[in-house]
Amino acid sequence: MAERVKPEPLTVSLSKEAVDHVRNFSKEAGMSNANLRVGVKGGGCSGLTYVLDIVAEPQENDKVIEDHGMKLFVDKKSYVFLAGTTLEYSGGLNGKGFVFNNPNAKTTCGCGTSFGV
Amino acid sequence: MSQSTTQIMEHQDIYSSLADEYDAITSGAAITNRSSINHLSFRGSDSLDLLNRLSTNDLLSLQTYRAAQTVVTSNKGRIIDILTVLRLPDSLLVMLSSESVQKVTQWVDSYTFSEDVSIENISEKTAMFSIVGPEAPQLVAQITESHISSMNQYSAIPTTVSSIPVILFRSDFIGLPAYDFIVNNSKSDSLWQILVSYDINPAGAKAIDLVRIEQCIPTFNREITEDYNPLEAGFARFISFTKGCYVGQEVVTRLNTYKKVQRSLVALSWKTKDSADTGSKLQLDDQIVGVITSAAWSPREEKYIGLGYVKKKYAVEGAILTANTNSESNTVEIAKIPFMG
Repeated sequence: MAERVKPEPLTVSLSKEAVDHVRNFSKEAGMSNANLRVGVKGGGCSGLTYVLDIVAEPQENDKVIEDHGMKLFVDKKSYVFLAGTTLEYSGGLNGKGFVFNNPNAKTTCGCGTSFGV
Repeated sequence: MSQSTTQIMEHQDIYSSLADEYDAITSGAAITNRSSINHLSFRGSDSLDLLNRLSTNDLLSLQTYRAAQTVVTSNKGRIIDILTVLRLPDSLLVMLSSESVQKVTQWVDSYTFSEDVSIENISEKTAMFSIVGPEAPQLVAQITESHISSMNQYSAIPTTVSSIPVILFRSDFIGLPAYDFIVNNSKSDSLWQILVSYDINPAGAKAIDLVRIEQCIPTFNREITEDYNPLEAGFARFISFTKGCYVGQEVVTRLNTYKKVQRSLVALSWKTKDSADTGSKLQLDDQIVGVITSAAWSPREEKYIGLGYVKKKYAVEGAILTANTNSESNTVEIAKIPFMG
C-alpha cells in the first residue's frame, strides 16, 4: 500500500531572487526593517490587480508567512485569491520585474498586471 | 390645485392623460416623483478611487457638487449598470435603478478588499422629485432660494426651498432640462406641497418613458443588460480612454480601437399602428438583424416608437425591418442612429 503523503498547505511563497531584490532595494533606500506586504484590489482590466508594498509591520488580521528569511504579510481576503502564488523577480534589461505566479488566475490582461478568477 | 395633488404622488403610470403629461414635459414643465431611483452613500477615503477602478469614466477629477455618469462593466466589458456619481463634501451619492441596486452593491463589495469604503443604501431616508421640461430652469429659479442660472448638467448645489434643505441636482435625466430635488424623507411631504403649489403638472412613468425613448436614453433591464457593451449602448461619452485600468477596460478599448463594435442602438418608428412587443426580433427578409428593447405609444405621432439594437451593417436610417411577434408582423423603420460608435 502506497504511503499517503499529506499535501503541503497552500501558501504564498517568495523566490530567492525576489527576496534578494527587496533586500537590495530596501538597503539602498535606507530601510532597516523591510518586509513585504502583498494583496489584491479590484480594478485591473481582468477584475483584480496585485498590490505590493515594502512595510515594517503587518496590519491587524494579516496572515504572516516567512520565506527565505523574509516576512510576508497578506490580508485574509486577498489570501483567498493568492494561495499557492509564488512571487518571483527577474531583473536586467529584458526582465519583467516582480511577477506573481498565481495558479488561481484563470485570465490575465494583456499587460499582465491584472487577473480574473 | 386639486385635492389629490396636496399629497405626494405615488410613482404611477399616468396621472391625467399621456398626451397632456407628454405635452407638459416637452413644451412646458412637469413634476415627477423619482423616489424609485435608489441612493447609495459611499463613505471612506478610498470611495472615489474604488469606483474609478470599477467603472469607465474618469472620476478622480470630480469636484465637490459635481456629478458624472459612469458605466460599471464586467471583465468581459459588458454593462452591469450605469451610475450617476455625485460628489458631496463628505461622501459620494450614487444614483441608480432600484432594479439594479442589489446587483451593483454586491458587485462593488466583491471587489472591495482592504479599502476604506462603506456603502449604505439611504433610499428609505431620501426622496427625490424632479422638475423637467424646457421651462424647468425658469420655474426652478422661482422656487429655490439660490441662483441657478449657471447650473449646467451634472452640477448640484445645497439650497433650501421655504427653509427645507435640499440638494438640487441638474440631471437632465431624459435629455431635457431636469432638476432633481433630493430631500430628507421627513421633509418630503412638505416639499411636495410647496412644489405642486406652483401649479406644475405631474407626469407619470409612461410619459417619462415616452420622452426617454424619444431622446434615445437607455434604461436598466431594457437597453442596459449584460448582453451589451457600453459602446453599443452609445455610452462612449462616459468612457475615459486615457485614465488607465478599470474592470473590462481592455475589452472596451480593443472594441473601440479596432472598430469591432457589432451592434448599434437605434431609434425605431412603427409604420403600422398595431402593437409593439419589447423583445421581438427585428428581421430583414429572413435574417434576424436586431431586437426591440423599448417601445411606447406616441400620442403626438399616433404610432409606436421604440429603441432597439441592430447589427451595425443594417443600422441605416430609413431601413425598413419587420418585427415579428407570435401573432402578427409589423413594419418598423430605423428613425435615427443617435450615437455613431
